[in-house]
Amino acid sequence: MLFSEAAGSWTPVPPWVSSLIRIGFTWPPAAFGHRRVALISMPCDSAAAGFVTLGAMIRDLGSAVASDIDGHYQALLRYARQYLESCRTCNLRCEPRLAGCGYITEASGYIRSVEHPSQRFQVSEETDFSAPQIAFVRQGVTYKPSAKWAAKYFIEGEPPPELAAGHGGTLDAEYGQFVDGAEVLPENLRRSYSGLCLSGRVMGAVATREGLASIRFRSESREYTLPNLLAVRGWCAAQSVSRCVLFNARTARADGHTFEPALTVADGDASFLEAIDRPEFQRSDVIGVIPRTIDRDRLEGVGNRMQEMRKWYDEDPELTRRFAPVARAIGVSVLTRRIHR
Amino acid sequence: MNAAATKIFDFLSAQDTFVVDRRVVSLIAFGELRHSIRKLVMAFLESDDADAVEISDGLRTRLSEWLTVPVPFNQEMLEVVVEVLGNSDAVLVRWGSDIRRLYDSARAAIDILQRAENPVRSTLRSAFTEMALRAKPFKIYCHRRARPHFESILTDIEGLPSTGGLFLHSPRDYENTDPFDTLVKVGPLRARGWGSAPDAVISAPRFATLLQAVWSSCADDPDFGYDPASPREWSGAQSDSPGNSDERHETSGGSHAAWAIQVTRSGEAPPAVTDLSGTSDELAIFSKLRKIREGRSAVLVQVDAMNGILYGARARVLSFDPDPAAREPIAYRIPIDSLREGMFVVMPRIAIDLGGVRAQHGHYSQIWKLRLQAEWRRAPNDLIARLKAAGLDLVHLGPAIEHWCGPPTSVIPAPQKIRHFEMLLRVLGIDEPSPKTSSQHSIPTWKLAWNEIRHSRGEAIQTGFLEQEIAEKELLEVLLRLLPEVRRLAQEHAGFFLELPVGCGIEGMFLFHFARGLEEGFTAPDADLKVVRPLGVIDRWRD
Repeated sequence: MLFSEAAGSWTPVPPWVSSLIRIGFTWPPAAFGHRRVALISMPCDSAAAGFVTLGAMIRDLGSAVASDIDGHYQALLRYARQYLESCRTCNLRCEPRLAGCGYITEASGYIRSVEHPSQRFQVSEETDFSAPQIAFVRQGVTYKPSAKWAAKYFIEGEPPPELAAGHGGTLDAEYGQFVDGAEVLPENLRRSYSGLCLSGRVMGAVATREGLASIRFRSESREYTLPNLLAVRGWCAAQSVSRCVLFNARTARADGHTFEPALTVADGDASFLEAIDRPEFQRSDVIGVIPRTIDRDRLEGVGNRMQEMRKWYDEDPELTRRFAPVARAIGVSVLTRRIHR
Repeated sequence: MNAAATKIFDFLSAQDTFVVDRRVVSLIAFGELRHSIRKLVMAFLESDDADAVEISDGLRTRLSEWLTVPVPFNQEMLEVVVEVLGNSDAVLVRWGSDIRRLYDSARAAIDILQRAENPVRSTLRSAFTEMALRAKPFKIYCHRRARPHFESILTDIEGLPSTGGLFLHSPRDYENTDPFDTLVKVGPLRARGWGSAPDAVISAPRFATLLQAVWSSCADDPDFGYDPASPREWSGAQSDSPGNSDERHETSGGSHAAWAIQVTRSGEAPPAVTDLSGTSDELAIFSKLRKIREGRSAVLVQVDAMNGILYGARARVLSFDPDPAAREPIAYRIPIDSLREGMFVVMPRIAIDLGGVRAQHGHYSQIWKLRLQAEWRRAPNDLIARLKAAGLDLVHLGPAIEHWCGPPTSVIPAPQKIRHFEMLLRVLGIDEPSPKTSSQHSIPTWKLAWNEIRHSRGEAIQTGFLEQEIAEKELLEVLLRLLPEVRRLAQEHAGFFLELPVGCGIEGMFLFHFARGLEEGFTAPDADLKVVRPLGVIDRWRD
C-alpha cells in the first residue's frame, strides 16, 4: 500500500500513519461500565483522527456483531415513536434544543425500501408499540413487516442496514491490506454500522472532510482517498452502506437517527471536550486527537478535563502498551473508568 | 491541514537532539532600572488611587516590553517614564520622597544605558550575521508590535533573504511553517503574556536550534512545552547557575523530544536583588500579580496600525470573510479557530434605548466636538490651563485635545475615562441636563454623550440591550441581505460602516474592521472586551 499527502509523491505508508491506524485497530471492544477515554497528542495538525477511525473501522469489519441488523427493528420503532408522539405535532422543526424534547434530529416519518429505494412509506398511526408492531402506509396500502423482514426497510436519510449481495453501493476497498492480520467479514461490506463515530472538527462537516481529503492510499490496482475509506454516509456517492457515523461538532448533530456509538474518535480539542460531556456519548469510549500546536488555553482546557476525570478514571498503561510501537512525537494517554464494588 | 504532517514527522525522526542556545545577558544599569521600576510597580499597586494603579500598569507594561523585545536604549525610554509619572518635582509633590527616590534611580539608570547598545540587540546582530554567513534558514518568534525592533537589527546585515517569511507571530503561524534550522526568540519561554510563544516550540519543534536571547534572572515557565497527553517539567526553567556557560540535557520519551540546553552568559553580573517572594524575575512577579486581578483569557484582533479589539478567547464574533469562495461569508466565528487574518469583524451599532432618549452614533459628539474645536482654535493654552485646573491632569494634554477634536471614525475620539470626559464637558460648558424623558428622569448631557462614546466603543451589546440569540439571528439575516454591498465596500476599504436600511426591523449600522492580525495571550476585564482600543492600552493586558 502506498501513501500520499497533500498531493505529494507516493511513498510507503509512513510509520506515524501505521501506528495511528494500529491504535484504532487495537482498541478493545466497549465493555459495559468500563468506559475508556484516550488522548492522542500530535506534533502538528494532521489527519490523525481519520487514521484512528480507519483502524477502528477495519477492526469492526472483522466483527460479526458490528452491524445494525440486530437492532434495526427496534430502531424503526424508536423512529416511529418519535415521529408519532413528538415530531408530527411539533411547532419548532427542527430545534430540539428549544423544544426541549430530548431528541437530536427530526423524525420525518418516512421509510424507504431497500430493494426499491424510490418507494417511500409514511409511518402509520396503526403502529402498535405494545405488540410491538410497526406499520407504514403507501398509496393507501398499510404494511406491517415483522422483525424478520425489517431489514428490507430503512429510515429515509439513513443508510440501509444491509444491501443484497452484489447490490451496488457496498464497500469494495481492500481494507485488509491496511493492517497486518486484519480479517474482513465479506457480509460486513454490505452492512451498515453505527457503533463507530467520528466527531468532526468544530469548523463543521465540510471542513472535516476537506481536512481528510488530502490523504490518499494506493494499492496495485486501486486508489482511495481517506474520506472514501471511512464510509461515512454521503462522503462517497458510490456507497450506500455506512460504517461510521459523523457527528458534526459545529451543529452538535449526528448524520443519522441510529446513533449509539461504542467508540467515538474526536478530531480536535473542542470536539473532544464536546464528546466527553455530551449525553449521547456517555456509553461510548472516546479517543481525542489534538495537535500540540494549539495555544496554551486550549491545551489546558483538555489537560484540566483529563485531570478532572482522574477522580473516576485510572491510567491504563497496559492498554497504552498494546499500541506500541507508537511513532516518535505522538503522545498517548488512556484512562479507564474505575469500577466501584 | 497545513505543513504536510509527514514532512514534520520525517524532520523529528531525523533529529536525535534539539538544542537550546540560551544567551544570557546582564548589565548593572539595566538591573538597577529593573529593580526601581519593579518597586514602583508594586508601590503604586498597593494604592487605592485609580491613577496609581494606572501608573503601575503603565510601568509594568514598559518593563515587560524591555525584557522581551530588543528595544534600543535611547531617549524614548526616558520619555516613557516621564509620560507615565511626570517630572521629578511633580512626582515628589504627588507621591512623596520614597517614590521620588525610585523614580530618580530609574532615570539615572536610563541615562547610563543610553551610552551603549542594548546587549540583546548586539547578541542578535552577531547571531543573525553568523546565520547569514552560514546560510542557515532561521525564523523569529515575536509578537507583531515587536517586529520593527527586530527589523531594525536585520537591516544592517547582508546576505539575508527578505524579511517576509522570517517572522512568526502566533501559534497558527508556527503551525503553518515547514521545518527550518534556527528559531530566534527574545526573553524566557512563557506560555502567556509578554514574550509568550507556543508550547509547541518545545513539545513539537520545527527547528534544530532555539536561539534564545534573555536577560539574566528571567526564567522559563516550569511547565513550558505542556502536553496534556504526557505533562512534564521543562528543565530549561532552572535558575541560572554561576559561571560563564553550562550545559544540561533533557531526555526524550513518548511525545517528548530530547533537548540539550547550552547556556552562555555575557555582560556585567548585577548584584542579586530579590523581593520577599525570593525572586528577581519581574515577568514571574508580574504574572502572579495579574493572576490576582480579575480578567478573562482574550484574543487580540488588530484592526489597523494603532488599534485593536480584544475578544474573549472562545467568543463567537460576527464576521465577514471577503473570500469569494467562502461557503459562509457572514457568520459567527471563533477568533483564531475560524476567524482569521484578512477577514472583517463586524460590530453592530444598534440604537440604545436610554429611557426614551436615543443616543445615535455621532449625535452628541457633533455638539461637544464643535465647541471643543472652537475653544482649541481660539485659545489653546487657556483651554489647557482650564482643563488642568478642573483636574484633567494628563501629561500630554495638548496632543490629546487635538485627538479628541478629530471627527468620529469607527469610534468617537474622546478621553478614555468617564471622569476626564465629565471634566472636559464641564469646562466646555456642556453640562446642562437634557430634556426630561418619558420616565421623567433628567439625564445630564455629558452622560448621554458618554453613553454615545461607550456605544461607539462597542459596549452596546455587552449591556444586554438585545436578547442575544434572537439578535444574532436577525443581524445575520440583515447582513446576508446586504452582502453584495458589503463585498463592494470591502474591496475598496480596509474599514467601513454600513447603515441599516429603513424597514429592516433594526435601527443603526454595522462597523466593519479589517482583521490585520490575531494574537492570543491576553487576560482582560470584561469592560475591555469587544471595544476598539489603542494597542498601547491593550498591551497592559498581556499576561
